Amino acid sequence: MIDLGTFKALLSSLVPVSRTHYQIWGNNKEMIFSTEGAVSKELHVKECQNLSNRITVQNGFQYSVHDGENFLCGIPLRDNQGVFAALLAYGRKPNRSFRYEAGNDTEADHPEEMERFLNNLKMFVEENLTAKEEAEELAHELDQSFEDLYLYGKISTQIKMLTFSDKMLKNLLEEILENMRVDAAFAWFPDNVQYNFKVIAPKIYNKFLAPESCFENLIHLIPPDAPILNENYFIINDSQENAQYKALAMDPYRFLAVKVQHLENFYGWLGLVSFDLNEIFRQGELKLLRSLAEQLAGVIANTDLYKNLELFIINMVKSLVFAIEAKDVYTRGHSERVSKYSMLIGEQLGLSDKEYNNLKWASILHDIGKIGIPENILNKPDRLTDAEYAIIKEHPRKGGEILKPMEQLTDSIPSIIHHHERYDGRGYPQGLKGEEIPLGARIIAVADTFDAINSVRPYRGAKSQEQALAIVEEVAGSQLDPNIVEIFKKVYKENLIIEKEEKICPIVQNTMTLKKSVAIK
Amino acid sequence: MENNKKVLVIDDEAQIRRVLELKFKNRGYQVIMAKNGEQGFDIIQKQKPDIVISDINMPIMDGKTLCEKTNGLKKYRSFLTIIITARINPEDRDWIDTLQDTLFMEKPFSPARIVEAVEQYIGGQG
Repeated sequence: MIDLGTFKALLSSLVPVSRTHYQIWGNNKEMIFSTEGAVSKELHVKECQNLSNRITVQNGFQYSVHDGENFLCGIPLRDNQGVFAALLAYGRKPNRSFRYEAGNDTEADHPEEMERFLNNLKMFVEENLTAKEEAEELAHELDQSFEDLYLYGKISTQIKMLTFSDKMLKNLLEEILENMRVDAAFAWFPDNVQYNFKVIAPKIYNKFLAPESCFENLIHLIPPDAPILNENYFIINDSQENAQYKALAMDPYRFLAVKVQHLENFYGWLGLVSFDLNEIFRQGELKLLRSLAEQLAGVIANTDLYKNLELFIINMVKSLVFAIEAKDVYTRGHSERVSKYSMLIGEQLGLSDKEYNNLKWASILHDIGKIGIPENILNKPDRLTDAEYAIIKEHPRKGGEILKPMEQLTDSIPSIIHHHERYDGRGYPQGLKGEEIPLGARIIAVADTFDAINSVRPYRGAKSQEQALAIVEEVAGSQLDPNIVEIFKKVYKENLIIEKEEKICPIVQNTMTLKKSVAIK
Repeated sequence: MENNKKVLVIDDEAQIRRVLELKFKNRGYQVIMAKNGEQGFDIIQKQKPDIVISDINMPIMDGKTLCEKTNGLKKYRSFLTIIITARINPEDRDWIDTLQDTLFMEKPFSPARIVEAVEQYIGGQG
């Protein structure tokens, strides 16, 4: 693995000037390098091998002389994991005339010189290798952080979508699986199982003994008192270390899970599984996954808030409808029916989601302004005086005023204010004509007219649905938008309205019976 | 592991050069590096790399000028160019489409994906 290129070149160039040959032997008793093509006759490979062995075992300089004139010596080379090779030098022992500093005992001097020389070489190579290794490690870390950054960039685009959805979660998990190079990525939400989702590499599916419930099991086995949970994650880098985790799959795997949690709200877990035990989950990956989980939790929290707000509006609208119905006994169930008919017309018309929603609120709340009208006028069985009728005619405008503070309903208000306009321009409050009248208001006008004729009023009894439809058709073009009436007829003929009454709204039927008895009295 | 393909990495950022050098050296490529388009162009002419990976925003000669200049060379000798850039607008995309054997990767890029793209190109060449 270690690149000794430069060092080998240095050794080769030392041969002619030092009159010495060099070899490098690895730990595995194999020669890695030799400055001599074939080992010289004087020395057998066996001797070199033995010496390199001795060096590695004794971890120090070794020197020997053969046939009185040839020397063989060596020194261990170390990296941060210990001795990885032996550096050997051999040649003819220098004679007296060659030596520049003659001592009394040349026999003893040569090994010392060689030890010093080899030691310097060894330091040179070791320092070089360490520096190289460090540089490589840094580059490797850099590489990982490039990958993390790339993944983070890709995934944050996914997560920026404002609302949480199955599709968004699926995309997120697929990105994680592909880019973090794991075998499975999953989201586990114990209280919201409809959110649960997993993405799994097909090749590993059968490695789990209970594939269907494996992710549930992985989460359930997390010991609740694991100290690491304070950091909001759990990790097992080798499933063989834990008997329970080991039992889940045939092969050893590693598992990382982080909590999906926003402020004090805990939603669930985001988990990864990999069967590649040559790698471990790195700090960078943990950091990345935690940050993704945090963002995911933020998105879920936002979605929850949004849903809560929507629910709040629905409930508020219901209360308002109850408030009118408590006041005006004749309109009981009327708001809901007008809303139903309007929605059916809206569906036929193919309204956009936004228009459809606005129509939903406008139709159910169209009479909300009646809250501001005295009960004795609303429930008066006799014909109304002009003054009383003028008060009744105030209800669309009053409805608009009541709802004005509710921002979420702003777009529904025009349809409420104008639901008593007439197609020919003779309606109220503004006398708008034809297409000047908001579409929602024209739809509500048809539904409202039909249901009013079909219901009991203080001054008359109820007419049948067929009769009501006939009257609606008569006023098409004058009071009502003929196009909407056409669509209403279509909806009616498909029996959608009657069906709705019978199947979905038994309460409506009861109130109708109640109304009849009131009328008889 | 040895492979006789030459990769030229042109980027003014040392860390990007370092990462790509490691990535390709580990897979047996010969890696040459340059800090700007001018150095890069010189190397392309003299050392004839098989793959050129270049940044767009660089001093002295930017990646666009470099690509315009090297695209002519591809008539005589084909090689892959991968442009790495922070943001790609539609005009750039159209411009890249006019170049021969040229891909782009958006920053932050994945070094592993660059290697994949290179090996796919080499595999395609047979």
